[in-house]
Amino acid sequence: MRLRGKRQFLLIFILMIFSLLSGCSDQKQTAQKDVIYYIQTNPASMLAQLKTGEIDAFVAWEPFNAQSVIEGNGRYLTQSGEIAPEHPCCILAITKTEADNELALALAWANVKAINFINNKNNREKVIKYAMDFTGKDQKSVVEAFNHTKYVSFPDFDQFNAFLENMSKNGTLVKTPQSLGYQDNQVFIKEFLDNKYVTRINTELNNDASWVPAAINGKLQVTLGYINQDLHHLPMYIAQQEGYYEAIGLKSAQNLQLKGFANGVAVMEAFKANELRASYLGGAPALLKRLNDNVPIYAIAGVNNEGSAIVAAKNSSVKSVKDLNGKTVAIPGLGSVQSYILDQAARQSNLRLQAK
Amino acid sequence: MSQFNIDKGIKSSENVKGQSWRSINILKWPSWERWAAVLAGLLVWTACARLGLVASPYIFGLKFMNLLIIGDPVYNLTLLQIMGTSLETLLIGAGLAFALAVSSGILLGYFRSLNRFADVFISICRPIPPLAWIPVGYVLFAQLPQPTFWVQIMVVFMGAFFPCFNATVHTVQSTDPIIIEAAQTLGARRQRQILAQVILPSAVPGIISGVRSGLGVGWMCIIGAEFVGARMGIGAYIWSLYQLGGRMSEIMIAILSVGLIGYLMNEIVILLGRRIARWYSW
Repeated sequence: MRLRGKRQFLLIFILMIFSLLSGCSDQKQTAQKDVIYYIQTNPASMLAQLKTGEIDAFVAWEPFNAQSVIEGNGRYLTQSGEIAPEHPCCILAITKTEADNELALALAWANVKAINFINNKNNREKVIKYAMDFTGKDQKSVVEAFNHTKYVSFPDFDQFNAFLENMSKNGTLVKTPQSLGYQDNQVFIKEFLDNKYVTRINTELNNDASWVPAAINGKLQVTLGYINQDLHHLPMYIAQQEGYYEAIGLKSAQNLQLKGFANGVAVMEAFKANELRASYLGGAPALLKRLNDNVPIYAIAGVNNEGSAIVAAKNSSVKSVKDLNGKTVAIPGLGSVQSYILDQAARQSNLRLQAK
Repeated sequence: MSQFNIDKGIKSSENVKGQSWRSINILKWPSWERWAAVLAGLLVWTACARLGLVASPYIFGLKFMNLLIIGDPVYNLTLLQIMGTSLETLLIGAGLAFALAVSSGILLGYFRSLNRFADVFISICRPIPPLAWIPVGYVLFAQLPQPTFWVQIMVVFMGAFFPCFNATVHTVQSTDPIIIEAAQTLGARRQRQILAQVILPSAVPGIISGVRSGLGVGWMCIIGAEFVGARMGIGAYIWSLYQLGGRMSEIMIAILSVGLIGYLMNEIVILLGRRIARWYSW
């Protein structure tokens, strides 16, 4: 009988230690209840969940934000540009494994041409039509989405550095450029963002607007990735429709294969598995996997700045990011540009993100 | 012969009480072989860490304590809180499965013709891997507010049901005829008396071992199910860690914790079983 009591006591003691360990942190978190809960889901489901009230807000890429606003279920709470002005969003990245200067130059050229096409006011109607075809959204949503997206041919170095620093701070980045053998962040970013192609293309195009780089070897098979229904990746679609890829010797269904992905993290998985030569994707996942998993890619061109937003339910009481305290917000995935934006927004309002 | 078999299973009453606590693995002082195994493991681990293959035990332990007390910076939750969601799903799913498996198992074990009737369906459904039900679940529960939650419950249910059901049917069917005859000799006349007072008690150890394997399979299933579309739980956490990249130690910590929790659950069920069925030699 005495023996049994001792055993029982020991068991209870072990359980107490366990509950104490978890209990401490429990209290800590209930005390400082300043958290925004996040869930991970794809943008299409976000619209439905916002409508049913399952989530209070979401962060997505255009045109999903605009679609929600136009359909009358959501309203813009904050544009990503208000949280991190001129933050880089999508980039065109290429694998670093082979000597592929020709391919990099050609793809960057097609990208620059497409961005110039978009930014040319005369092409407005054509661009809107292309955008509707590419994203499958109606005209109103697309026009609204264009108001919040800036197409640029190269991302800003300093902004990328801010990306790097903030992602180290919030714990998404576990490796540093130093651990990969770089001298410091600046050296790493200079190498990661390779602007020599875009610089050359811009000088050539200034001299002669009809300049085309040498066509690439016809036997080279190129798989080019992009994210489904992401208006940021419109340059890819326009380059294809306007024949820019053909001009550099890439013919669809012959030596060019376009592949759509659900999000940037999925693109990086494909890069890791050697299934992609080049892809459009968000700067944050590219940076994340470049460092954390040492996936050998680098950016040869930019696509857009800003173009994400926090969208709240139309009739909710949420008036600012501060009001999101204790609410649930959907993001496309950890490590995406959108999760970075939400994290920054939360930090600026002295809130923290917590998984739900 | 069978007379002797029964005698072996029954212990003298004075032994029973102490025994039920004494032979719990987790509370015993480990044998020297176990200590040697742990030391050898640590030695190999440290050697591998020196070669730069894996994180060293010290860093690993540090990260483990960090996850346990402070929590993951990305999730902002501690390991136990993340684990809690999975355990909750497991307990709901497995609880439902056990309720159905034990009751239907007793029925089918007792009524042989019913068993022969249902046998076709059960034989076909039993070998299906529980994770194969995920797409079916998403179609079935698409209209509910939280389809993923119900899909997980369903997967755990499918995983936990059959081990428990099979064990119950088998243990009811293999009730020793001698104890039934003994009960009849002692005056049990009605079938109900035999079922409630002889067959059911004698089936308890079998049912408990069914519950143990059911919980084990259910626990395996929930981790797999959370890889697909889940938002919380240890499986979803492991998957997120993988997607963020560069977190091998944390992934290993999470996986080992899954193993540890599985082991603890098994021990707890054995413990409960000992308390409930004291007469049985465990």
